[in-house]
Amino acid sequence: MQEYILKAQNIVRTYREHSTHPVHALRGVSLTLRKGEFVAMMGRSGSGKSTFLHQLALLDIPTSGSLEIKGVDVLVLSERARARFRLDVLGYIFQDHALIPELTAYENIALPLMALGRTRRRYDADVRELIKRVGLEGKEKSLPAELSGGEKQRVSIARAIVNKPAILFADEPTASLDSAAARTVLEIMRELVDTYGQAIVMITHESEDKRYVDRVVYLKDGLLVDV
Amino acid sequence: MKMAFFLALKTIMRGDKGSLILTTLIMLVVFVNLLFVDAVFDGITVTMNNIKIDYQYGEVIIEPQEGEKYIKQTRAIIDALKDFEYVKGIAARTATGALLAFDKGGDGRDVKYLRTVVNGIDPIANNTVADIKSHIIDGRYFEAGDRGKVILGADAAGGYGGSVFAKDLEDVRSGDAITVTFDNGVTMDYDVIGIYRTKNFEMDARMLMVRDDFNAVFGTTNEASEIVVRLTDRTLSSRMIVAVHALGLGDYEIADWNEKIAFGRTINKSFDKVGTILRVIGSLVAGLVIFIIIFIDVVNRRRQIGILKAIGIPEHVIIFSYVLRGMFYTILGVVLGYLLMTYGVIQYFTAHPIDFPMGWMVPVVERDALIASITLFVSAGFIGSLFPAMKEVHKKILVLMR
Repeated sequence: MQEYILKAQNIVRTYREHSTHPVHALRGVSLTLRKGEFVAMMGRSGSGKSTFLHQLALLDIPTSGSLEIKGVDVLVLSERARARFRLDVLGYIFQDHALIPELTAYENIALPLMALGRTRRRYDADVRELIKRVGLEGKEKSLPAELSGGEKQRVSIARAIVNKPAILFADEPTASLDSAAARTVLEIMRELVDTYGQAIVMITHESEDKRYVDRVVYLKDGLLVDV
Repeated sequence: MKMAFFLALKTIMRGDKGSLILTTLIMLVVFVNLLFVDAVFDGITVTMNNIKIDYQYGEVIIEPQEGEKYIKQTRAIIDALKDFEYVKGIAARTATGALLAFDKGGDGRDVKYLRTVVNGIDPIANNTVADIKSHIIDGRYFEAGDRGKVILGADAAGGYGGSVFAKDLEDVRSGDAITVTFDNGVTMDYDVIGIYRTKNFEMDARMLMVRDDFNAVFGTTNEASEIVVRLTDRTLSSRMIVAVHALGLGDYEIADWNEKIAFGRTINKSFDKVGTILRVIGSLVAGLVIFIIIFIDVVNRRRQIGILKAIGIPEHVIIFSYVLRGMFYTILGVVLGYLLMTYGVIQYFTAHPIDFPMGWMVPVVERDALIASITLFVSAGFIGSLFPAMKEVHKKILVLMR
């Protein structure tokens, strides 16, 4: 039996910052993920999907619960160690691409490797191979403003996987794309799972996306529900 | 750190050029403002020193021994000193007090009086130490063979604009005649052939007469009240003083310009204090401006900071990249500001000096003041970049990415 690569138990996230009444965004959500598993997370707006993904990707800290990634209790890590863990182990695809506008496609993709201290000589071949894999050949020197929505999202995917993360998180990666571009993005993600054993957690609203994933989990009012 | 340099470089190179130009322009103006205030104060100090040196004391001045009225053997001393290669001018002056009287109506009913200093000069030699000839504002300078003629400083003559003195002869013009009663009691009438203004208020309150006329009044022949020496380089004054002593003239009072302008030194110290206060205030303003500029820049890039943090770029790398951006704007402002100051502002004021009561002032960028201004400005830039960047970068990722 394969080991869990991610184990989230009873995650609670309560916001108090701008409200006198606490907002219970997550009320105790648990999820496990294996290597090479592609999980889709669905639910209505406000159900807590993005909040949960943020906790799993270490972009936020849960109010309570436990979270183990690759056997590490990540909630006890310092901010600095969490940043390093994100860089080493996790990848994140944002809904709106979240590219740095002053960096070319190549530079945006290479950013995590540069942050890891690798020299261009060491990462150039990997980045170029990745650019080829996501179909961005010839766009290496293009700035984000010169790319289409689908191309930007492919750059975002390439950046998220360039450091070969154990888990890839994707927050509605196809939401702003036309159906052809969305299909390409999902095919790339599926290929990552099938070819490289990539584990992926993806938020989606589209039911047709289900055919690309191994498992679907549903959230409702901050809780996982069976459908 | 390489990563921070990379991010800073790319965002500067490929960022909005309008913002870059505007930011640099603001930094430039703030730095020029900081430098200009200093330059004006330094310029006033230099101007005041110059007019004292150029029209009164020279670089070195030799005066009689204590208790003596005159230097003796003046010609021999001048002959000995003028052979030094770094002496570019030398002249002896005699001096006395006198009461000048001017009867403009010629009827004796409204005579104006002024007590002042009268110098007897060799017109040609004196012009090698104090170029009065170029500062005649009415009439002419002495010519060979002039006798019974005097020239008056504008502040003594009156009627030529602002003066620091309350009393003058109320509008003597070239061509008028004045009566002079010297301290030895001799009274003589002279024709005023010229009025000069050097902006050295002590000199501009005097009357100059040719040495032969002075000798005729006082019976002097080879005496001087002072010998003024001009040097090719102001820094050689100590060397000159040593040389004068070596000539066996050590019994005379020998001083360089710096010793003579004690009054100026007091003012200089005051200006230094005011300049320091203004520099500190200017730096605080500069720091605040830089802070606001960088803060706006950082706030506008808040989402990008969030993205970088989400990827896993360490906070200190992000902060350092913003500090580098801030330092780039700061140093660019310093370099362009310095160039503008040196090749624009100073050049302009050199061609069009500011008319101050104590002289025609050209702003001067002194090395020490420049270093102090750059240090303060760059420090302000560093602090002004560091704190906004730290403040933003330490925020939560999701707050930054909203």
